[in-house]
Amino acid sequence: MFDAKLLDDGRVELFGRFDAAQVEKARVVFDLVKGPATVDFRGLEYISSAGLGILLMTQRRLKEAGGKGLKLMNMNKHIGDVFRYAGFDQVFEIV
Amino acid sequence: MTEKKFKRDFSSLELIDAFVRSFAAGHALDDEMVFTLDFVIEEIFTNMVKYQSASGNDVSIGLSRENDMLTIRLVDYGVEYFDPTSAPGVDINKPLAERRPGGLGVHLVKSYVDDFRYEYTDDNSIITLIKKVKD
Repeated sequence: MFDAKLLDDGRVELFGRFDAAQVEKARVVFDLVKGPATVDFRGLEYISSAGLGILLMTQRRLKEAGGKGLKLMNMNKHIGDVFRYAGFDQVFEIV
Repeated sequence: MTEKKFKRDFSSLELIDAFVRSFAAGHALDDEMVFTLDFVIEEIFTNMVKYQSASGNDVSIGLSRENDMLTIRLVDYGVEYFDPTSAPGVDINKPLAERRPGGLGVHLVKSYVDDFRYEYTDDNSIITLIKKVKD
């Protein structure tokens, strides 16, 4: 089960498994992100390239609008490895 | 080899994860290996779903372990030739403005596995991935 929530303070929380079947559900939430935002991966177990694609396109949209972009936090080791293999540690602030 | 057929649809991914976890539990594979198997299978399976949409056939996924060697085999029946192993590489050092999501999945599969082979026989696409299991 996957879930993505945009909180009142602008944070996005992700839960469960972010696979290709969840892209539309995630897109609805990330399209609502208008300014710099923190994405909390604490509850996320898994991500595939489909999930990376949503994050990448959100980051591009925010940066092209002159914003600071997304800050990603609390990734588990496996997800952190995916980000490094994809070179995404160079285009996102990961804390 | 433990094999199962899955409907050609993204909704199969949850069932594929259950299949991987069941195999992992019976073959002493840890969480890291479950993540790797889920990841590489999803990337290949979703490519088959996206690029062979004319086929209505199920996709077969097989897993086997022999000592420290895992074999992952996906068979797409009655489809056109489509070799993901020959896809051009992705430059992961490009600046953000030049990055596109396309092609990233296959690039990442290559990062995870020790061997990635494609065969095409009798209108069937067969992808074989080899992954060494760490002690």
